[in-house]
Amino acid sequence: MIRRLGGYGAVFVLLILVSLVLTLRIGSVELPAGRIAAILLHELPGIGRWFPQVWEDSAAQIVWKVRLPRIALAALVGAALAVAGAAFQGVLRNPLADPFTLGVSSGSSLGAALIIFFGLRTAWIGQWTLPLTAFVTGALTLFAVLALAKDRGKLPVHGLLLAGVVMQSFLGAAVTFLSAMSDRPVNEILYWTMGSLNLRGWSYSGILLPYVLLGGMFLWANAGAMNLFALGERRAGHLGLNTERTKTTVLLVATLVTAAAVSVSGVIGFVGLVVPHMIRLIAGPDYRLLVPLSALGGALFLMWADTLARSLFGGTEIPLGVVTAFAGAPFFAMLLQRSKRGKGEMG
Amino acid sequence: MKLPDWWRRERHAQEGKGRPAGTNRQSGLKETNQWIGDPSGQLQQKSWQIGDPSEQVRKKGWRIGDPARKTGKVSQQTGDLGSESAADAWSAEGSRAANEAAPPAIQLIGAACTYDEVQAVQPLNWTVRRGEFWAVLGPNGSGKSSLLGLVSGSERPSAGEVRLDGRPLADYSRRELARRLAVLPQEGLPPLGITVRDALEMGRFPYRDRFGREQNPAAAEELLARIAGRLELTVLLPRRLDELSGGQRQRAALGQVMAQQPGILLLDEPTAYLDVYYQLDVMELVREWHAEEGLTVVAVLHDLNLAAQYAQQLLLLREGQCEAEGTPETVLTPGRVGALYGVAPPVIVRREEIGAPQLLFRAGERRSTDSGK
Repeated sequence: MIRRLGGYGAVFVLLILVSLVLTLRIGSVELPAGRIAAILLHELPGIGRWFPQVWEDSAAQIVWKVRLPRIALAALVGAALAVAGAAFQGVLRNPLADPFTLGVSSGSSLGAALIIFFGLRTAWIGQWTLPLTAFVTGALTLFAVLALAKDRGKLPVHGLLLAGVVMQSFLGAAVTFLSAMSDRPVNEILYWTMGSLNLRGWSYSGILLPYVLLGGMFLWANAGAMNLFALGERRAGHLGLNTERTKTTVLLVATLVTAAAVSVSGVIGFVGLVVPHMIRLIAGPDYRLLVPLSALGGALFLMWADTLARSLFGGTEIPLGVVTAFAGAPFFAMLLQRSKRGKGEMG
Repeated sequence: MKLPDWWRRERHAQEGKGRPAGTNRQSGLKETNQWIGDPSGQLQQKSWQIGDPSEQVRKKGWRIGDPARKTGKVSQQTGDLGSESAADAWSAEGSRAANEAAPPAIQLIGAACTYDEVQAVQPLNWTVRRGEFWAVLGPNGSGKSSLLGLVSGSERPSAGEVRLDGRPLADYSRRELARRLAVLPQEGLPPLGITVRDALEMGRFPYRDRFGREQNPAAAEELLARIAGRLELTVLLPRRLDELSGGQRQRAALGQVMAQQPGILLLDEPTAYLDVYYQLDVMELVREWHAEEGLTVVAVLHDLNLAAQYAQQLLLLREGQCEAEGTPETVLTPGRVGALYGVAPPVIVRREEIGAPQLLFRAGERRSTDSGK
């Protein structure tokens, strides 16, 4: 298990590093890949002196201040959504579960929509008003869904799924209403709900990082428990797992990680659903592999999706949620088809 | 250092001799004479070291039911418990006397189970002593599964108390409980994409720390290998569960349960989806485990004849209440069975080679359940 994790992990880390240099190249100012690598390595303590500065300061500025913050944030958001998606699928034993199953995205959207609708974007604590509100409303939605689903001290899976659906459609309607009532020429609410990483500096990554690290570690530590869930909740209980407590804490942590990601990036669909499935097709159903590899795969996936979003049509950005759906769905369909055929051959 | 006994896998010269054709299902199962795990639930090195005094005890225990010994034909084949003789491996009087002194493993003290006003189990007093083999019988809806739920801790008693090894069940954490008591599910393991090896390892969950580490990884590894050998799962270890047959998955489930090293095993209609071969396979493996390790077994069964052959004690339920308890001979009378299930009284068959009473039901003589009450 550990050897396989090391193998897959190394491949993913390598891909992420290569992608980092390649995605950093893409932009209005032309920079060669070797130059970008040197600019990055120059700042590393220890080996930085092997890469003396032979470029203008503006090149370093573009890499460090403009392109890298956005790519780093994309990687973090992707990791957060994918790791939360893997956890949701594990604990709910439902292949269609994703980080938004419990209504977090709609809760965060409503918070953001209210802020935008009433023109409070820069009120109170400046640029942080919107992310903070989105996080709080997302978390509140989670607790409302848990309260709705609770049945005699237990959290039945079907109850959770139904409560999530109810909450999503109700809050979604509220967001649509606000967006329809909005009289601005550019519908900011609509754009926010489709996700974007435009104009996000390093501080956004700084806020998200602890959620991804601590939340991801917690979910990874529960990967063995998620494996037991696959046998059914009753069986998992007989094998010594406190299923209710594990389910509640895992859903809570995964949702908070999601809310943190959504609050800085808006709603980016498909990552949390598709990436864990892709990893499952590559590395198998063991959550001890699935959870960490989903984080790495999600980071990789969103780095490229965001690069496409900002570069495909020159100056015009495509909403990130649109790119993830366009890129993710066909890829997912292809993998699904291949695994079906593979099974047919075996049987 | 000598190889452990189970490793030698000696085949006995007489294997297969004297058995009716078609019973060679026993081959392989009888090769080893030592079981896995110990009732205390701890990984103890001594339980699998050769020449250990405890092993002598175990061998003796293994031989209790050996007919060769009973009839004076003492043979050296400690491991060979032929299927033709296994039926009276327990004799009602013998096991009763032996267990009278044994401390209770499971106690129900006025325990009841209620779902939404419906009383699935009426307040029930019932004691299972350590090392006993019980079957719980009764018509559909008589509360068998609820009773199992009460004992396994998945249902909370609505009244009364359930005790395990003298301690209230509610005092156990799920982990502690899983080290003492294991449940073999009805449907075996679900057809997942995980390997048999992974499935067996899951049985070690209650012994592992937060990060899935075993206290003594080498010993656990050896235990799993031994279980796999015993259950003939060794070649299947790298295979995925969704590539196995239903019977093989039930074996894998049994392996998972063995990895828990429980002192008490609950069986929830373990033979429901199996053909005759695997029905006997599961029950035979459980009986061997029971005989060698002093395992306490409570099996919910639908098949009265299977219950009569394998269990020492029967608990017959009717609408959540105890209708009768005792040995198969005393409990399974034609009148009682006929009335309870609402069928014509069955014919009781006794044959030397089976040793337990067997029931034959007649076609075309179903009575309405009301008249049976």
